Amino acid sequence: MSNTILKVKNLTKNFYTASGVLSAVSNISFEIKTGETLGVVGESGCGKSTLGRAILRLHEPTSGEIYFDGTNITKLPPAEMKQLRNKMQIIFQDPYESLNPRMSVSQAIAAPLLIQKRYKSSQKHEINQKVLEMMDLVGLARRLVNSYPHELDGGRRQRIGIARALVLNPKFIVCDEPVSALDVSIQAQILNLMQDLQEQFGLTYMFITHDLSVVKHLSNKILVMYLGQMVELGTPSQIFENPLHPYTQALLSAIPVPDPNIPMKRVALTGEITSPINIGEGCRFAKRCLYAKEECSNVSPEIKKIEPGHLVMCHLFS
Amino acid sequence: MSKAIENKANGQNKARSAWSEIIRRFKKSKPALFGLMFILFLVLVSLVTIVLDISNPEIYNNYVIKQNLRNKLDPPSWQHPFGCDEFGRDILFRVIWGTRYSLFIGLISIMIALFLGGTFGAIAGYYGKHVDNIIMRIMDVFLAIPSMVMAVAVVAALGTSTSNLLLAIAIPQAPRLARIVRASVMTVKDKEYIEATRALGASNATIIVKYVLPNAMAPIIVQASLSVGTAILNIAGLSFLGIGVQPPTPEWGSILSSARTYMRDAWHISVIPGLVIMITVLSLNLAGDGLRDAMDPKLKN
Amino acid sequence: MNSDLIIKNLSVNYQTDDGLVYALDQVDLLIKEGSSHGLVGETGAGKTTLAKSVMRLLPERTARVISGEVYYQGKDLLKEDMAAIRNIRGEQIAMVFQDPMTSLNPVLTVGEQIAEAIEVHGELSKSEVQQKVGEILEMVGIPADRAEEYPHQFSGGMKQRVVIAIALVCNPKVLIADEPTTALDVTIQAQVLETIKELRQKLNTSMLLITHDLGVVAQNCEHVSVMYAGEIVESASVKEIFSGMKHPYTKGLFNSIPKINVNVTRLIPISGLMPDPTQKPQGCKFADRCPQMMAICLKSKPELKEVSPEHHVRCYLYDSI
Repeated sequence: MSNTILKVKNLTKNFYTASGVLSAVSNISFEIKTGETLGVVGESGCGKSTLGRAILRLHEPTSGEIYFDGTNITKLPPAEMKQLRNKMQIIFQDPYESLNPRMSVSQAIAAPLLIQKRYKSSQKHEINQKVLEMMDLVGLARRLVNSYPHELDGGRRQRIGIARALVLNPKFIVCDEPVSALDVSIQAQILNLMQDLQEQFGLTYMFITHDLSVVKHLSNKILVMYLGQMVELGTPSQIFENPLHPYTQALLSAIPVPDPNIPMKRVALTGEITSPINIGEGCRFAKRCLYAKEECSNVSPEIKKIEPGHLVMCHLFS
Repeated sequence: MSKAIENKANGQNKARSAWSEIIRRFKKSKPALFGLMFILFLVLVSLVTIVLDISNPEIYNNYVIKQNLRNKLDPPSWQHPFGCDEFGRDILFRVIWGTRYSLFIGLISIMIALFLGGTFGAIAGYYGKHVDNIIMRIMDVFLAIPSMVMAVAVVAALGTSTSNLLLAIAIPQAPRLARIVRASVMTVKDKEYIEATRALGASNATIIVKYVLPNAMAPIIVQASLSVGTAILNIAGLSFLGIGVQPPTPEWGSILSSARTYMRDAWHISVIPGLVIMITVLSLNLAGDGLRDAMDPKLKN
Repeated sequence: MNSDLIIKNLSVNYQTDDGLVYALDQVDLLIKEGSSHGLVGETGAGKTTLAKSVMRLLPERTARVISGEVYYQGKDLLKEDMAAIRNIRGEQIAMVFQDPMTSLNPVLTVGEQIAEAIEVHGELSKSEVQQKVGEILEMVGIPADRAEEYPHQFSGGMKQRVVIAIALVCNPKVLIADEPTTALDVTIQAQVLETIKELRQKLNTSMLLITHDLGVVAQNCEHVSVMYAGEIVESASVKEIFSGMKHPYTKGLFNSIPKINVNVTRLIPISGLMPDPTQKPQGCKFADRCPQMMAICLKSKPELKEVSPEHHVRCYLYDSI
């Protein structure tokens, strides 16, 4: 057992809908080392949230394997999975939706402790102590302990979400767009908080986002997804300075730079993300790709290692 | 302007729970408050009559069911404000003593309906797919039968007794409530906080009982409170048909039923109990509507 | 006639259960004919209220215009009657809303909805209307034959193009775009903003672009105003503001966004939260979050000062200049 905390092998998740098979995650493999952050980037509908949930087995994977701390957890029975939930947690995107409106701040933070039976509900004093400790940790004023979510702003709600995820002392946290719903000035507060907590507790993050610039300074590795497939994987400098996949290039060039003196040199990307239902063989980006050749829409490209740690799935490199 | 509320909370740290917020908004609607007051008044009236019956059964025997043919069909007067019925009994007394039947049969039958419909609706909504399909198709079959006809059928099959009457009223209402519960559970179960709870390792039963149902409650309570009105009408209807509460018990519907024959000679014995039923049902509907508005977060300001 | 849109001294309140919310406080804004003006601010800054005031779309039950004028072609829009306003809406000033999913009517075809916008304002024959629908669709990059389709057959980006087509079909002089791309993916956002840019150039339409994204402003606007808690705190040309932003809030906002073109290891957030909109502090509204707060900031409210030509700042730090 090295210091790899999470290893995902050929993970696939299909949903069976009325109109056909929806391929949300297709054959994705990667590893995350303890204490590091993997940024998962892609546009809406690319399957990045499904990937995160499949790893936590909130969605049962269709095929593939997930190893956590060296153990294969893909088929773990519910009782053992419940134990494992102590170690892997999730922070959600929408702080307005992810908190039970009928639970006060203290109830929300205490809920995990009761569900995992760390304390009995009679141990009021201990629970309260722990709740206050968590509130201090995530920067929530103690006087808010009895407030309800609807009385608080987005930033504070997200702090509750973080406290709830952290109270069990997990090692690995899936962060599903934790700052996308927040105002920019609050966004920075939360990102910094998450960075601090990572340092303090040696946490491992899988940071899911649609915004490449958000993961740039947080991640050790970035995984770019398009329509359920991993199109590129690399370190931030590899992805930002030397993006190989045409989609990564397009994504980077579409971000408006906050500097009027750097005009956007946009890679003209036409069309929109196609439906992931009953998708056939071939590169899923082919329809929008500037460099698409005939084989692109017929044959799925292999994942190629271009340099150490930099993988790309594109026929241009095969 | 939820920001405003948030910032106030920052300053004062006053815990305003979702429920106290609802109560505050409910109070702002005058018709709803009137409805609620009238229902509480009726509850009080029935409780008082129950206490009186226990402490002094003579009142019931002498004033409510004892016939006094000298006063037969007397119109309203100072002595008998609501007038007298075909056996010379004071209608005011009969209406007051009849409150408990309408009210409690209405309330209890809806509770039964809520329990039955709620359980099936919650299961159908939470588990979805085949479970949902099977349960809801059975409910659809029940919904296809007019509620009065079904109630009559239930009473006819099981015989007339209070408990059968409760069932007869509850069974046709259950599928309606099941639909509401199912829809409401379905919207709540996909919320992220439910997923968050699942990620914490909570079991399905815990999630349904502690997380889904409390949040799905609002529309259910509203529908249930509106259903009580329907239930009261159904009881009156059954009694009117002669298969509900049996005479001489002074149930409102049975008072109306016996009044039918004398409608031309004595308007008051049908109009007055009819008005009482109407006002009661109206009050329930007003209170239910007020509750719905108070619980709708979109109408917050 | 000159088609500048001039907003002067505009103050708007909302009456809520929690008291009076001061949504706009003496806002001045000038959108020159043909120019594009960015309005930047966070949730609750009053951006949407400003847009709705100009369009006279404020909720009548709760909103009160306390003071101010909105001049357009020599008329004060706030004083015109609704019939006159209806003529101006769409034909002179058009608006694009944030959410393309909800701003289209699901039971009418896209073509019918565009045609409706034309018919309201002009008397054209059926075939002329059809021709115009086709033209505008092609202009926003949608094949004309898709006019027969319903909104649900379009993707998010396509819907927003349709909304833009509806807004621009009558050649309005001013386009107010309220977060037009916030609900869209970046690659789609880039396409939609490009479409707006091209159309504006063709039709010489001026634009008020409301956004929280400084990047979008930098790439799409000539002028920018930064709003905070109902006030304009800084206003300048885009070039000037990005090379020398003055107000501590503007600086804070800029520092707290992760930038694609700069390497940082840690962001510098603005501490604290937006002030309670039901309170009207004596001093500067940003004072309690400001790293450079001085004694005077708590005592009285700073005025908008010109620090260099066409660059205005509401801050005591630049008082001496």
